[in-house]
Amino acid sequence: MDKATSNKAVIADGAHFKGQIKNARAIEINGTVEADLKADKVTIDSGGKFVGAINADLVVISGHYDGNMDAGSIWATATAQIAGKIQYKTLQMDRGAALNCRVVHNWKPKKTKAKKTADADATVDDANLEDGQNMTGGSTANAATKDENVAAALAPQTDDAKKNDNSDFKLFADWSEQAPADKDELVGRRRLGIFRFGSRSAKLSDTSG
Amino acid sequence: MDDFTHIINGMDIEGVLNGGDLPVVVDGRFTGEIHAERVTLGEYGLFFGKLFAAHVEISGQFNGELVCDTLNVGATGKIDGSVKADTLSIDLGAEVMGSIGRAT
Repeated sequence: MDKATSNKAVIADGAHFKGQIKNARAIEINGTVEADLKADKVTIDSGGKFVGAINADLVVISGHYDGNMDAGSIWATATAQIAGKIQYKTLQMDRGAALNCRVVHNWKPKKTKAKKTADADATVDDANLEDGQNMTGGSTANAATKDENVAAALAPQTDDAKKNDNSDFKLFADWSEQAPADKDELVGRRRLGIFRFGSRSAKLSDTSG
Repeated sequence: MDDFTHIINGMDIEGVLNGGDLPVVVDGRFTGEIHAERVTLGEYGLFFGKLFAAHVEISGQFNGELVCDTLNVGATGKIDGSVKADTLSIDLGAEVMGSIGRAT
């Protein structure tokens, strides 16, 4: 019986409670309760009886229930006996469960909307990330081109083909040097393949000029 | 399965509780009336009201009326009100205010 660390309230078998219950996150009912209850998780065991309103994310019913229930998920096990009215988003009934009540599927569009906005945000973030990668790749390529130009100025006798090869080599050498330690960024670059692409175009423009 | 009624820490209950044969542990806040065989008020428990039980252990804060056969007040216990107990023990450090008498 660890009393202090337990995070689940219990109304034991044979107990009877009548009144108000507040701030109960998880509650298990083996006895009889007449109350209005708001909680995260409510369990009414096979010997339990609950009369009153319940507002909860998850309700598991194996005993008697009578009242107005508004729940995210309801699981009525084989021994469940429910009267009154239940509103639910998801409902599971085992064979043998007795429902003598009004059953309403309560679809809340609010949550779906919230999810959509989150998705949109994620897309924007992705786009930003891609832009960022583009910019990084471009700037590095430019820097490399500059280096190459310097090299060309120092050794003017190198022919175009050789210079191209050299620049390619340089670019990859630079890339490996500047390869970020951050794993995520590395993966991003690899995924986008932007750096190689950018470097190729930079090289081409240089050749033409 | 837990075999006692447990009002957990952070929970706020108001009403009448009949514990039946099994023990009642109050670690949260209880306002009202408890009838039970055995009641424990935990260190962080708060009780306001009337408590009727055979065996009571108080380690939290008790305010109101207490009627029992045996009472043990723990070192962290605080009692303010009237106590009626046949057998009484008070640990060193406990704070007891009010009237103390016999239940019978």
